[in-house]
Amino acid sequence: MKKILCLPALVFFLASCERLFIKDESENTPVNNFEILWKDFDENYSFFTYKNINWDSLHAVYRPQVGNDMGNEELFTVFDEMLFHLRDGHVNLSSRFNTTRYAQYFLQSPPNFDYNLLERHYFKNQERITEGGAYRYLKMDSIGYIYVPSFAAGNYHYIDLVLDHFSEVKGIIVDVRDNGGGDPVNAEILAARFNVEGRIYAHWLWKDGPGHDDFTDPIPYGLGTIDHPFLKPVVVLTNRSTFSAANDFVLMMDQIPHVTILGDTTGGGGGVPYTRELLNGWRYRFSRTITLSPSGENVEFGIPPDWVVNLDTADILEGKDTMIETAIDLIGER
Amino acid sequence: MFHILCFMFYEIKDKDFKLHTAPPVLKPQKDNFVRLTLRWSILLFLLPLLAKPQADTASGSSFLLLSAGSGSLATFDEMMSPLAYKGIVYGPSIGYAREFQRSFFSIGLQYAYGKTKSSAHPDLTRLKATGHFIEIAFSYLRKSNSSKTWPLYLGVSWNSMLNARNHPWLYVYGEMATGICADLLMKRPFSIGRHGMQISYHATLPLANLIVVPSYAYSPPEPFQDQNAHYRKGKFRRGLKSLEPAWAWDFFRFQNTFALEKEIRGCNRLFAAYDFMLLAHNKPEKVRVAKSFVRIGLKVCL
Repeated sequence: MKKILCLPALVFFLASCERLFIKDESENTPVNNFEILWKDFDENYSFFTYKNINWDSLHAVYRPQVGNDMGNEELFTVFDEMLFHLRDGHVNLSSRFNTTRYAQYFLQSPPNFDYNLLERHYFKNQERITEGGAYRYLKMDSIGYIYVPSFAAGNYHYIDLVLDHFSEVKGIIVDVRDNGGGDPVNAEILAARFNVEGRIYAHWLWKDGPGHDDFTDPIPYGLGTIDHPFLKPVVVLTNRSTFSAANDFVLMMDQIPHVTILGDTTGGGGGVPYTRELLNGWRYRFSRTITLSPSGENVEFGIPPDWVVNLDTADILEGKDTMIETAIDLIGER
Repeated sequence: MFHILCFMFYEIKDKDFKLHTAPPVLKPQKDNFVRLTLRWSILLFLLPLLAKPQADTASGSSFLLLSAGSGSLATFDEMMSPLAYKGIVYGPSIGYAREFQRSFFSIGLQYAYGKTKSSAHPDLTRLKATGHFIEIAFSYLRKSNSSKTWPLYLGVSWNSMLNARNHPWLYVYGEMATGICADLLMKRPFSIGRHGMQISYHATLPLANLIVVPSYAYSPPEPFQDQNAHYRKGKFRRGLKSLEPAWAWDFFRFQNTFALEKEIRGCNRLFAAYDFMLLAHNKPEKVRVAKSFVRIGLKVCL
């Protein structure tokens, strides 16, 4: 009987012992967090070679600035300064008290967009908004205008309802200025409505090893079509804040013959971001892919327009959006 | 059984035929290993069935096993996070067992759902990572000593498991493994008053596994471009590391169960069991999962 009672006693002893086997990999210290962050970027970030960044030298500069006695605010500042060198809008570090972001790609250029101008002088409370807010659209005489503020909202398939409303127009303006991106699937839903035949719009390279140049072979990404695409002239408006999935959208539209890209070079953001976390619970994300246009150009720093047009201050004072007015003229001519 | 053996021999014959009619083609070593492991696993598993004595069949009794329970779970997945996630796990299981004087056969299906959190954000409930554990096992064991007080059974089992870990910020991680295992079962019948009881210990140690793990570190995260035909075509191939072999030291899994049974009406039994599972591998990065689970259930005599 004693032997029998030993077994329940052993069970009791073993209960919850799995917690002894499994612990955090490293102690939560500033130095360990720095090393995890630096190594993860070193092995997985995709643009070191393209941007000519010496990541080892940045380790040499910033590692001595990190000590285990420093506070969270100081540590966050060191990480922020180190990550700034990547010049990448897809690189963020998030803590409870702050989130870093790289905004220089649009801050160093003219804004080229004023929503108040649009709202007060074009929409005038007459615009229609699809459920979920994916599209704000309006007929401007014989031209359809669609503003797409983001590719992160819902119900992008409602573009079919928008195009039904625009069945009689001469052409359409698709405005993706200040569109910071979202899901490229949504961008593809919209772009497919203007595409005549299936075509490759990009080649993506995924990291496939820890070396800075370890990538898969280029993987083609295709743009689909629908039964009755919109074949009249289309103008896409862009500025430097057209980023990430919106940048992908411009790349898709750029492949379609009856589409014209007008405005400023897009903001870029050609890498798909990947999110990880640190020992102290801070999150970070970074690009892990490279996007190439069908002609092999890297679109990380943006896609140049077919027509370079900037907002004119005199036009703004008259209540006119130079890009919209130029697009209307362009469609009218065609 | 007969058909499976015929199939295996047919395959061998077919290979011989090909060798005589066409120049030999060097196949990747991994493919050969997978095929060989699969075939020998089937054979190893079925061999004890061939040797089963008739006398056992006559004295066998069958049980349906129904149980549910809860326990604690600890996971560390370097690809998911440098932090360990710990919490609770609960779920049901169902099984069938056939017990003979000298042998023991069982089939079991277990599901468990886990909720865990890390030490870095203990107060944020929304950051709970969840886990799903599905396990199916066939085991056949034969008595290997003559002791009546502590009969010892040794045998083999075929154990398959699918673990998925979902981090709210990140992606879905996990592993699927199927393998041939060495099994050990010890039983000790005893009685308290008029009640017949039994205490048992069952340990399982996989010897060879075939595993599938996600390759999120170096491939497109899913779901990404479901609309895209080019992506859809190779989605699963790129999203998962293909079935690859792993010996016990590459992919360590250890499971054991302590159980206490008490006879109730007829030959039905009430049982309580304590399961402990430890899983460790480095595919593609360090993963450790440990689960302890207390179950209470019924063994219904069929």
